[in-house]
Amino acid sequence: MKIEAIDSKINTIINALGSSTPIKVKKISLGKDPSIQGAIIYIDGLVDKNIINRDILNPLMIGISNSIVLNSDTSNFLCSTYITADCTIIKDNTMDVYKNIKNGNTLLLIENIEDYIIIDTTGGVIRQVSDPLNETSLRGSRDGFVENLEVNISLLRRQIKDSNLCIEKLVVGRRSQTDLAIVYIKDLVNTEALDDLRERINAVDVDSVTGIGSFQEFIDENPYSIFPMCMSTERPDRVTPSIMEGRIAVILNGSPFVLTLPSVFVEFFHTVEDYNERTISVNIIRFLRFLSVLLVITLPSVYLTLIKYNGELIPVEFVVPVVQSRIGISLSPFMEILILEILMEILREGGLRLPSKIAQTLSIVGGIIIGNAAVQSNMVSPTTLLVIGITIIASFAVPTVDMSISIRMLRFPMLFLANSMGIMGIATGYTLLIIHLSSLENFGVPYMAFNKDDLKDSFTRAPLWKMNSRPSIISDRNKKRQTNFRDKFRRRKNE
Amino acid sequence: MNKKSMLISSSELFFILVGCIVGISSTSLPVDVVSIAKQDGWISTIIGGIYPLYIVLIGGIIIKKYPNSNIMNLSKAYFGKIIGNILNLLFMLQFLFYGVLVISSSSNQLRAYSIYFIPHFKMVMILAIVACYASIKGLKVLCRFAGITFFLLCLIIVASTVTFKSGSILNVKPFFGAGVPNILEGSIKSAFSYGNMELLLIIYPYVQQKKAILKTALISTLVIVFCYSWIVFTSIYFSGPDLVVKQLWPFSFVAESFKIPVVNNFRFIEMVIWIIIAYKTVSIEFYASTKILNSITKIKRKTICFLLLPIIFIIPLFMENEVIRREIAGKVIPWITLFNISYVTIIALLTLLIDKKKLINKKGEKPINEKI
Amino acid sequence: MKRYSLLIISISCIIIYTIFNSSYGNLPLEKVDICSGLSFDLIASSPVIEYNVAASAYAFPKKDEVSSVILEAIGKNIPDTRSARSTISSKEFLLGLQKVFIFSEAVATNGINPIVDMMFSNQQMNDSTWIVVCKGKAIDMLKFKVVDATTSSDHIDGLVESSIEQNFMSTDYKVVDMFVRVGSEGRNLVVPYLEILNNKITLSGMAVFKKDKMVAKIPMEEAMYMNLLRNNKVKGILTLQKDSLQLISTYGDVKRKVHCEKINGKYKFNIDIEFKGQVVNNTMYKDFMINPKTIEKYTHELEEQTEKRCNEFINKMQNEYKTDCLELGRDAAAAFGRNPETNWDNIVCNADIKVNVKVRVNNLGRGQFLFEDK
Repeated sequence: MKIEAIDSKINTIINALGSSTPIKVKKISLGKDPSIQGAIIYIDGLVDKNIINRDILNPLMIGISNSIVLNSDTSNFLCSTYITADCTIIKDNTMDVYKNIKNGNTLLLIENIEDYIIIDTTGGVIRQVSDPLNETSLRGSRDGFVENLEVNISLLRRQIKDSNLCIEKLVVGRRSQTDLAIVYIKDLVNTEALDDLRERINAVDVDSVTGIGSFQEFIDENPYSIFPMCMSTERPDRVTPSIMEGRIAVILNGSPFVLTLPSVFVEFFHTVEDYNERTISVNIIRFLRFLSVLLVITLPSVYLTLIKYNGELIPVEFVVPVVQSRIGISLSPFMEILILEILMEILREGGLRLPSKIAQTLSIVGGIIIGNAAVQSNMVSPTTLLVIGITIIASFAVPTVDMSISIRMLRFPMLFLANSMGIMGIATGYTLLIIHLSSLENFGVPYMAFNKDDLKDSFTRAPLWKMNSRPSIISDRNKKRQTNFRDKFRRRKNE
Repeated sequence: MNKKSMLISSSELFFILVGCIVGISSTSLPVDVVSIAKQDGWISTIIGGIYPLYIVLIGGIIIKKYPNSNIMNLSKAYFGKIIGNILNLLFMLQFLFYGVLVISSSSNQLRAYSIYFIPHFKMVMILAIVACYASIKGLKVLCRFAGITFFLLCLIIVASTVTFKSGSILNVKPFFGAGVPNILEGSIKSAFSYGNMELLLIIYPYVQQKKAILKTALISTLVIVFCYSWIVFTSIYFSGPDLVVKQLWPFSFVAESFKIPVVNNFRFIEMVIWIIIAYKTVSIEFYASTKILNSITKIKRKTICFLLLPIIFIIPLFMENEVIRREIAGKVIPWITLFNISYVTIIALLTLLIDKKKLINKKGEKPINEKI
Repeated sequence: MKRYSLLIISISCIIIYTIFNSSYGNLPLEKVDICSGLSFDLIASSPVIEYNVAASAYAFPKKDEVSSVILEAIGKNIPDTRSARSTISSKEFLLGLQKVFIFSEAVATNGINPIVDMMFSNQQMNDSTWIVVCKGKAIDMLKFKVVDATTSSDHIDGLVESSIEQNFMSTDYKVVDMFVRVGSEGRNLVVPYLEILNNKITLSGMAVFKKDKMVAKIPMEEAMYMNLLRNNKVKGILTLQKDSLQLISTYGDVKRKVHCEKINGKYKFNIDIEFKGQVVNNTMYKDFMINPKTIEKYTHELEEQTEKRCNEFINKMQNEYKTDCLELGRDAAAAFGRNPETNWDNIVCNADIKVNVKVRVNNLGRGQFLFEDK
């Protein structure tokens, strides 16, 4: 037992934590005749003061009726008899102590005792679990992730009660020391991806990691590609099926978005609705989505090619109206389409962050009035406006925001290629796109590859009770996830 | 990187084998065949499928004996380094020549159909550059690319069934009316367009399941023979044997009769699909020639891609005229086919007779560590 | 090297783009002449005949008005007329959007092989343009003002397309059919023949070609039977009329099958025609609705009459026109072997052709107004 006065201990701790941190110290006396000096240290704002008052101060200051013996067992005695909150005893590791205090725990110091008693009092105000704003669903649950790591992990744990669920905690960022959790199911996960991921996270050496987006970029394997490599989502009912398929979820403290990796190309076109609606309706809607992707990329280029290079391929009934609408237009077709596209992108970017009342005015002014005025001033032709309008509407059909931006941006190079080379340009654009997509790989999993069994849930979705095996492209282990249980239904046969 | 993911699966082998042979030059296949065999050209095409079948079966013998080596190493082991390398060089020149032929034929056909305004030089340049870029990426990427274009090819074949409404079976009758000698002569002509099956012998060490190689290769041969005979049959069915010989690209003529509501004729979509297929064929052939050169010399494969780029860029410039190109092709391809058949047969016989054990021990592990 | 790779890629992209964009481009669509129809006329002047090719192009004088303008050009051959036309036109010429090609009778009798070859080798060609032959000067028909369409070619396009509803006409009068039929073994080209009657463009008959020259013009009443014998799955009306008060008309469709045999070097063709339809007008027999035997009697009478008329036409074809209008040579070639040297016109004109007609009434409509219950 080292004899050390309580004041000197308090001073050591305050110096280590940094003098400008809002630290609160309360000196207490434990026991009666003689009373022993003790002190609690916590950081204001990170703790739940109710727990401190009720579970620490009340029993220690008032509840101890006789004196406490100071020996090596004192901390255990106090923890098991008087302190009703959860507490741990740390013997030598001062770094751990400081970390715990910064996380919102309270430190109880007793004079002349070397042990540090850490009591769990994390609290502070955090956002309630609420409707995820960016990804609404008609029939799914209304939970969304929040900024606190523990709450997020609890949301996942409530849905996966498998005993093989592993949660690893890591820390990133030298100065921010943000907590990170990796969640996966031990006997399903793709182990190479897991090792790769751990290696990369441990290698990240930056000052601070503030959001999931910057973290994503740090561990990204193809940073220059336009396509997103990891799926980020706000809904627990999207993360849970991904984990069940062998993927790894990465949760960052302070961000309500959770990453699931490794991801494949078709995953970005699936929504939660797809698994909550009936099979046939879902397949029609998925077909619509892929059709709209094709439309967004090719429609302006095809229109430009038909007008500029291959007039004889326009259907004969359309020719007269199209040419009529283009009489007297001052711009060349390419400039027309380009200007309209850029205008639409500016409109969309501007309307993204405005308050909702102004956004409505913006859409009316921008879309209708400017479009109309452009037509009437003979800058653009009505047919071009129609084509661009269809393209914009089609681009709303891509469900994930990251992928939606990538697809929208793809139409510009395609437009330039079509302008210079016509049909050859469109085909070259598609070829380069396919080659680029085929060569992308993340964490050992190819981005766009189709195994025969995986096709049950890629472009169309087979009935849920038929999808018996996990996608083999993600992880090769433990393929079967359900059996043909429908064969056991008892049915009366009509004779 | 997953060790297993560096190898290709058997379905990817299927796609790349089909992709290497069925290309844009198959649209001009009916002309040669029908000019000799008249309305039985499609029967000749089916018979001509014996040539790739033969290469597959003979290749099966080689693959069974040496599952981890490839034909370049085998020829070096059996014929000694110098003669083996010379034979490998001839082998490589063959693939390069096919690549040159496909580039110039695609450029000619595209400039004849919808892309009138791009001169030959620029068309060849873009084809060569994209092929080079694709073959730098490696075998896995090419296999996935070939997988996607296979579905596009199926789309064209399914779309051509619409012509059954406007054609008539009377154009194809009488069956066997042309006489068996004509049919056989036509089948020799069709066999020339089945070249490039030797790709199997270059890439088989990279396949995961060695036992399934032969089965996959046989299925791909079947699909290729079906595709080619379908093309010839539809052309004769639609145009009649008298009109087919007057056209340069009979199958494209057929595809134009398909009317979809939005575009005037199917030509637009068909052209886009044919261009993508042309890119795929040229990339695969270019990749094969770089691979062979890589095993002859020790330069890295990426550098070889850039070295060989001028060749496939400059030589097609001389074949701007379709007639000249067909003449050159008609003269050279019979020799190439003969060389292939004899080369592969001799190596197969040598593998049966002589046993080069050191080949298996020394080079057993090598292909997996090599960058594909 | 890697540091500059982004720079190199961007600069090379810009260079490639400018290289490609500098290729002599096409003008956009509004600066191009879209012609809706082309007419071919012959000017017989010595020593070389000249062609007068006129194009009817759309003109857009004001924003919402469409009218047409005729561009005439004269040249010694068809491509020369293109050069002549560009001297009077203010826009580039686009070939692929025509609806109809009108040949004058003179051009058709002179032979259309040069025109067919030009269309075949041209890539911009639209293969579903109609081919018609007209009486007199083709350019007059092109200039003719119609009420219901912008140009006369639009009107003719609608005319030929909707003609399949009657007279057993088919849709095989397009450019692609012309390629297949001219010069192929056992096949023969037949196109609609138009003339201007009573100030309206009328489909007055069919023009029959032998190889590539026109040899006969058949009026519509006869041509109906030729179409009946020649086309499969076509529709029309067959009427049995004894006098002006007694007639029965049936509107139905036709299925045609041909069998051919060779007996001692002489060919024998059997054409089986099955005609199934609805009785549209009946003033002869009053008891169709209750008595199936009357229907049988009627069908026999109609069969006999049709066979008689068909045989009349076949006689005329074999003796007067001397061409194989019914494409029987094709069936014979399919059965007995192909040889490009055979002259199927001769063989068919000397062969034995027998027509078997089977008529079936499958529908009486809503009822028979003149029904009398005995």
